[in-house]
Amino acid sequence: MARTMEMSRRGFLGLSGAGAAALALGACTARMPAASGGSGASGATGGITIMSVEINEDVSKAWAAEHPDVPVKLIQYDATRLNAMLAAGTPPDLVRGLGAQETAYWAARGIAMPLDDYISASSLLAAGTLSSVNDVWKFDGSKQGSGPTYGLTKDYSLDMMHWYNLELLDAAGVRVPDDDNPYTYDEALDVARELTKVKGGKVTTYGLWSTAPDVVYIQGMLGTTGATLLSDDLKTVDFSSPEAQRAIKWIADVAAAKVGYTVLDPNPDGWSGPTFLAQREAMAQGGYWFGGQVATGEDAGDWSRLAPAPLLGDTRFSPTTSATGHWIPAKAANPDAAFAFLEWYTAGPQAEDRARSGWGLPVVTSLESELPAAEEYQKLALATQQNENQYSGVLTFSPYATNTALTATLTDLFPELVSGAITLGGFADKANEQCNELLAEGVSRVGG
Amino acid sequence: MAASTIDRRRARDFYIFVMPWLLGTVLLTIFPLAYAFGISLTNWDGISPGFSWVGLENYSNVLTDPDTWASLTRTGLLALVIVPVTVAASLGLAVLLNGKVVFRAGWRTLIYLPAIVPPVAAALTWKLIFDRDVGAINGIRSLFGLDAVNWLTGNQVFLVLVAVMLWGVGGGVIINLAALQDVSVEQHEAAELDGASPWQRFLAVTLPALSPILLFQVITTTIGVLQTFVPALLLSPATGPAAITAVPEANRVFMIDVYAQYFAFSRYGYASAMLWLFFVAILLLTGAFFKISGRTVFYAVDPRDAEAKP
Repeated sequence: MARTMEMSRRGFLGLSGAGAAALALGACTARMPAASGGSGASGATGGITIMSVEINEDVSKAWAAEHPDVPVKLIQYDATRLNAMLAAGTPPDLVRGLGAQETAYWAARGIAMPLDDYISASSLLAAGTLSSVNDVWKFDGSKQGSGPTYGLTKDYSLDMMHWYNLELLDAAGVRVPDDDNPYTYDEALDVARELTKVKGGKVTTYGLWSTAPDVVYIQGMLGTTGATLLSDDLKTVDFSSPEAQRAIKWIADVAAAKVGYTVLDPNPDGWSGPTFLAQREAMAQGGYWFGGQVATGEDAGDWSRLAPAPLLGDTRFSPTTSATGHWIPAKAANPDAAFAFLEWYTAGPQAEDRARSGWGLPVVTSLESELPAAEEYQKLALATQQNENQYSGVLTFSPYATNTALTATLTDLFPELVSGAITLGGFADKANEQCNELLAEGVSRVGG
Repeated sequence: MAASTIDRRRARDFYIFVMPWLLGTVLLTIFPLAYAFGISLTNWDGISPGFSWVGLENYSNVLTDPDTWASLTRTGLLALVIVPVTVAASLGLAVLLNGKVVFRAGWRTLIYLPAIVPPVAAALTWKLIFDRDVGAINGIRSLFGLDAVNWLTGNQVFLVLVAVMLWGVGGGVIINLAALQDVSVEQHEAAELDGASPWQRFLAVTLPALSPILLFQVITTTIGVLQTFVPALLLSPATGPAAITAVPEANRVFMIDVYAQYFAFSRYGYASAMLWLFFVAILLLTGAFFKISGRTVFYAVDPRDAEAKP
C-alpha cells in the first residue's frame, strides 16, 4: 500500500508540473492584436493602460474628469517590464519614449504603430500646428525624419545647448558665449579648466557640464561637422573617421583633465539640476527645458543663462536628442482610445500647462505663446532659443541596435582610453569591432 | 476499510500541504529555468519578433570570453573574503553575546539591527559615507590634513562593497545564538572537570555542536555572495542601463555582467546561457560542500538514522 501511495504521489507531482508548465506557456503565447483604429479616435471608449513617467495620477484624474468612459490604468515606465509585456503580446496602449533615439528601433521591428491616419484626422493637431521637431518620430526604413510618424512629442528642447553660470564665468574673466558666437568644444574645455576649483582633493566647483562617451552625444557633436557615425545603410558605425576621433578625444580629454563629471567620476546627484543650482557646476548641458529647473532655485535666474550648442566643426547644428513623448504599440488593445488620450495630452489643456511651466518647448506651435517670459533670464532664454531654432535638425540612429547597447560598449572601453592603456586609434578599432558585431546581430534579427 | 480511509485522508492532506510549494516551484523556478534555457539557445534580443536558433553557441562563447572569467574571478575573490569573515564574525559575536555581558539585550538588538535595514537603504547610506566631496570618511581624513579619496571609483570601491556586505553580519549572529542554546551544558561541565580550557571547550564541544548550522551558513552565504548584484550596482554612481558598464571594474562581479548583457546589450540568449552555466556551477559547489561536510559536520542525530524513522 505504501508503495502504491509513493508512486501515486510521484505521478501526481509529474502531472502537476506538466500541467502548470502548460498553463504558464499558454499565458505567454502572443495574443492576437486588436484591430487597429482607422483614422480618427473621437468617440473612443474602453480602458487603456499607459506606461509613462510624466503621465501621473494628476494627469489621469484630469483626463477622467473629461472622459469618464475611458478609464486609465497607469504603470510606471520600466524598460524591463515593457520588454516583458511586448514579448507576451500584451503591451500597454500608450508608452513613453525618446522619439529622437528610439523611433528607428521600434519602427523597424514593427512594434510601433504608424499614427499618420490618426494625426491627419485630429482637429487638435490640425495641419501646420505640429512642429517639424516631431519629425524625429518618423522613419522610412532607411532614414529618420521622413516616412510614417510613430509617436508624438510631449515637449522638447535642442539638447546640445547648455546653461552657464554668468557670475562664475565673469569672475573667472572668461568669454561668455552669445547667440551668434557659441563656444567651440575646445574653448569650452579651456574655460572649464579656469572654472574648476579643487581643495584638499574635494571638488568645490566643476567648470564643465557632465560628459560621457554616449553615441547620441557624439552624433550631436558630429552634426556640426557634417559627418555621422553611421554608414548609409545604418548597419555599421565608424569611430575612426577624423571627425569621430576628434569628438572622442575631446570627451577623453575632459575626463583626463577632471573638469566636469564623467562616467569615471559621475555626478552623485545623477543629473546636473541640483549641482548647477548649488553653483557646484559652472555649466550644465541641457536645452530650454532646464529653465524649469532654474526657476526652482532661489536667485538662480539672476545668474543662469542659456547658450547655443557648441561647435566641433564649422557648421551650426542643434538637434533634439530626446523629443520625449509617447507611442502606441502595434499590438495595443485599444489604440483608438490611446490616441484620443495622446491627442488630448499633446495638444489639450495639459499641454498648455506644461508650456507655461517652462519645462520644455511645446510641439504644438500655437502653444509657444504660453512660454514663460516674466523674468529677465526667461526672456533671454527664449530669445536664444528662437535664434537657435534656425539650426535645429534631426539626427539619424540605427534601427539595428539600441543606443544604450552602443553607448554601453563605449563606456566599457572608455577607462582604458583615459588611462592611456589604449590609443585613440585602438579605442576606435575595438569600438568598431564590438559595435558592428551588435549591429550585425540586429540585422540578423530584423532583416534588411 | 478503516486503514484505506486513513490512507486516503493522508494522501489528501499531503496534496493540500504540498500544493503551494509545488505551484511556486513549478511556476517560479522550473518554468523560468526551462524558459531561460530555451532563450539561451537563440540570439533573441528580448523584443524583436525575429530570432535564430544558435544551438550551444552562446555557451561556448560565454566559456571562451575573457570577460566572463575576469568577472568570475572577482566574484570568487569576493566570496573568499566575505564568506569566512561573515561566518567567523557572526559566530564570534554570538559566543560573546551568549555570555553574561552588561546591556546584553541592547547589544543583541544593535548588532542585529543592520540586518533588517533594507539593502538599498544600506548601500545608499554607505555610498554617502564614502562620497568624495561630502562623505564622512573624507571628512574625518580632512581633520588630519589628508586629501580626499575618491572611494567610489578604482580598486578602492571593492573595499566599500566589502563593508556593505559585512554590514548585515547580525543576521548570522541571531542564528548562531539560537543554536548555542542547544549546546549541551553537561558536555561543557564534563570538559571543564577534565581540565579543558575555555578555548579547548569551544573547539571540542561548542564548534562540533554548531557545525550543522555553520554548514548552513557557509552554503547560504556563499550562494548569496556569488549572486551579489544590488550592492555592486547601487555603489556605482552612474545610473541607467548604459551605465551598467560604468560600474568600476573592481566591482564588476558576475551578475553585473549578466545584467549588462540582458539590459544594456539586449543579448538575452547570451545572458541566459551565462545564468544557466552559473546555476550549474553553484549546484556543483553546493554538492562539493555537502561532500566535504560528511567528514567535518557533526550531527547529534545521524541524518541516515533520521531518514529511516517513519
